[in-house]
Amino acid sequence: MGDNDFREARAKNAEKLLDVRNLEIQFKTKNGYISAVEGLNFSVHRSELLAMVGESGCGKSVTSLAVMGLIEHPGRVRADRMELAGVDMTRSSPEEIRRLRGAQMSMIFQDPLTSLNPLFTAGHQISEQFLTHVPGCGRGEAKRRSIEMIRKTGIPRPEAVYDSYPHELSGGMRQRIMIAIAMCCNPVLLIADEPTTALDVTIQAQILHLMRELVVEYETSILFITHDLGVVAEMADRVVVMYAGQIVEEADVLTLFHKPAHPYTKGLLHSTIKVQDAGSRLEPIPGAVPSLRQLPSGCRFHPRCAYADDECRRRRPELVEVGLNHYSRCLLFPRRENVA
Amino acid sequence: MFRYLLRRIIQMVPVLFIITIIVFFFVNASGDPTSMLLPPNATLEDRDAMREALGLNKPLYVQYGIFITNAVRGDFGRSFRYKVPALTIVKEKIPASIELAGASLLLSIAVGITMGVLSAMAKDTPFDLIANGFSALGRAMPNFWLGIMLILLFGVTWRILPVSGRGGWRHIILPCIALSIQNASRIIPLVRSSMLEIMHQDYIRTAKSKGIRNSVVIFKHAFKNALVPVVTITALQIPTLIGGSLVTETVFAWPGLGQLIIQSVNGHDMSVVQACVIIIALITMSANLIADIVYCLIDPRIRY
Amino acid sequence: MNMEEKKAIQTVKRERSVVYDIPCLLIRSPSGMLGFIIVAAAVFVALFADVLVPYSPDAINLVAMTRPPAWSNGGSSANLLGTDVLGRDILARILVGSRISLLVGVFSVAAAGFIGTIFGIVAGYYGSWVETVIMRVTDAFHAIPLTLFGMVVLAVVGPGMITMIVVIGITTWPFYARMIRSEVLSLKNQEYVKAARTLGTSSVMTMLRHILPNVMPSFIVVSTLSVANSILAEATLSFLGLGIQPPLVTWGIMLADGRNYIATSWWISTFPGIALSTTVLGIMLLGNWLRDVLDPRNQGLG
Repeated sequence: MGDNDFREARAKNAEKLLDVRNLEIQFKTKNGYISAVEGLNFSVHRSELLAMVGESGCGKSVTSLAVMGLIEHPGRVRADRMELAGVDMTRSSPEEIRRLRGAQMSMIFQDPLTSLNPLFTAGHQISEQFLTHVPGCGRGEAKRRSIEMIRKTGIPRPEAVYDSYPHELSGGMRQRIMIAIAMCCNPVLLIADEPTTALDVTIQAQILHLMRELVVEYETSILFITHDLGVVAEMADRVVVMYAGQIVEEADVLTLFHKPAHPYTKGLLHSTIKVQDAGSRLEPIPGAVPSLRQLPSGCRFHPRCAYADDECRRRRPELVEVGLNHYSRCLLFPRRENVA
Repeated sequence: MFRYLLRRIIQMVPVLFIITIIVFFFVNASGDPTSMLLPPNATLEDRDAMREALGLNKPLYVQYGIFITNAVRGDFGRSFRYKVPALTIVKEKIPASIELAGASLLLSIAVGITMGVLSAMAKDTPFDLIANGFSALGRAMPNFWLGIMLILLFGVTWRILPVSGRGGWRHIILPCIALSIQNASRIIPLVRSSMLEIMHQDYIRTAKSKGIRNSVVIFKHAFKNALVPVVTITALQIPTLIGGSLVTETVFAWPGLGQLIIQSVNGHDMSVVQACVIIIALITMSANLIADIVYCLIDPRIRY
Repeated sequence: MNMEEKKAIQTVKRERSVVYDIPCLLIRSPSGMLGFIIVAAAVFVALFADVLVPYSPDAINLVAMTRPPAWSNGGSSANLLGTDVLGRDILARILVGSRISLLVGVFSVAAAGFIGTIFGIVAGYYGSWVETVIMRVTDAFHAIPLTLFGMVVLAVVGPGMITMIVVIGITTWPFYARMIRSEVLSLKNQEYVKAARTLGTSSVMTMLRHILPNVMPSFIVVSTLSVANSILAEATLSFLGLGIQPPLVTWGIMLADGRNYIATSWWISTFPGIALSTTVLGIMLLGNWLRDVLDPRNQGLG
């Protein structure tokens, strides 16, 4: 059985850990509500790393915050279903969702410099998790387990780091602390919102390596949000490509890189530097992400699409299956053959 | 932290020195104290003898030199009025003043912080509006007038609280309220804007993503950060608070430094006035130093 | 075009648009509007007090001693807000009293701004020990409460309006000095980049020209709020009997007069206090509104 077949088989049989149906996120502005994300369906399978890719402003970060239940006024979230490990969060009270946060699902953020509270020690911020989510866990035990957690993230001298304040730690160390906080209650889902963007390249690789190790150890699924296709290729099992608040393509990582179906995905791939074709020109996608206040008619990508015709300007494309577990939202390339 | 505080204390020395110069200059550069000390029918010889005795015929800088060397030893001269060392009288009045100013500081911080946090959490609700209105009014009302109005209400109309002097705990209620409202009103918008700003910080989002109870996020993670600017600015308000307490003391006949200064100023008892000003400056600076220590304790990033 | 010029032009543009937008911006902010109305009313009253008052504020009328306000028992429509112990009309005295409050408020702030600007520029410009000394002096002034300093100086020098203005000016200049100094420092570094090392009088003028447009917004805001504080300080010192002296009329003096009769004639000390608080409130609201409008961070939101 080839690697490809294996991946496909696994994808087909995989159990859905997080299942989001028809998610809509709106923000209140002077001129009423505008949708940052609409009609979003996606799922993360058990022990899977799903990458969510797109330019800034495409709605990937708000999606992750919506899953965590962290969208607040002036935003609002609607969904038919948002199920985590069998619990439908759309039917849960805010208090129930709060109990899930940090325990069942946790999140790490882009900027480790500002994501840790500057006035509390790293150790305090980790042990707070044990004290909040582990019933009957005392301070001594929380400290012991926190130090153990720091050690697991590969930080030398964890006892010293336990008593350090965030400003005394380097960026990479702080992101390791964030990971320790996120992983310490053994969550089933970890959401990582551009966790390496703010870090040096060498540190990036270490952090990614660490995440992969921990995921294997804890069997955690990851929703990985990034705009870096290099990281996607290295880390992801499956990829969801977002554009202007919609999913435009969804596929397993090999299919996406070898047989992209949507012109936007192709554009993204072409605008990424690859070592093997250094010397060939980068082709940036012309134009910019449309403003959510003034979305284009028809296909949202058509003003920037090289293949767009009249129909693209008029009709809104649906997300259609173009191959096994491969979906694309494009009128022109509904089938794989057209792209090859 | 200790090195930082040591540096702050060393910095206080020249400032205190400058204060003594300012005070000395304004008290001695103008006016002839002998004309106030001697009866109007005193002869010129009497006058010269007095000048000689007081050292007033020496050049000003020599007088200052004598003044400062004595002051360092705790000798601010004798009170003309009470015929005892000035410092002795001042010392007698300090506890009452500290009691009132301290109680008022605590009350205004407690009220200011509570209302500030609540109005930040209830942004744009009627409560927020009321808190803002209270704060604007509180800053606009001079505390001596507020004191008079409190006397009118609680002392004259309802007759439920004593309006003058120092005695049991009931005596401090009115002056303390009169003195606190302005300070609390300054703290409210400060805490409010500080809290609102901090609730948007990344680490608050982190705290929420950790599933910590909302009250803990607000009162632990956000509040501690919001305190940092509040401590700084409250410390800057301390001179205003002490200045206000001088007036409030006279309104409520509170036997503290305020009353002493007014009496001494009116009676031209200048050595007492000098001593008072310098002691008050010292108290102000010590209060600022305490604020610095609190600041260090709250924010670990300050410890250089 | 160099950086400063660009910055200056931006500032000017911003101010021009602000001036242009003032009516619109005021209407959008109820508290700003309220402040504006109160201040306008106070200025109007101060300017036309002579025409507005029915009686001379000093006219002693022993027949009408301690008359309560018109609406209460024993009041007379001749004295709307009642009379004091000498039968002087409270309303007339309040209207006339607005003059000294505003005069002292505005001029003491002008004095403080003037002194502070000079010392701020000198400190930022010369640096080294000059700066250290000036900054320590500002620290020293900061450690002495305004009221206390005013009490001492007025007691020594003797009370009077000019003295009062000077005293308040002397105690509040450090705020301006610090503000101007930090602006000079940031500007001086830019000047260095341009290698303009020849420092003479003309470059002091250059700096003034560059600094003033930059600090103008914060200067206006700080000054407005200082006027409110100066008015309070004036009232306090006059209340203590150390500031303005009778026969001049100020709200502080009226409050001091009324205080002794609080048990019998509440109106004597109530109404001047309301006038004082309202005026100060108006100025503060206007100042806060200006701060919101002039703060570059708020641009585009208004």
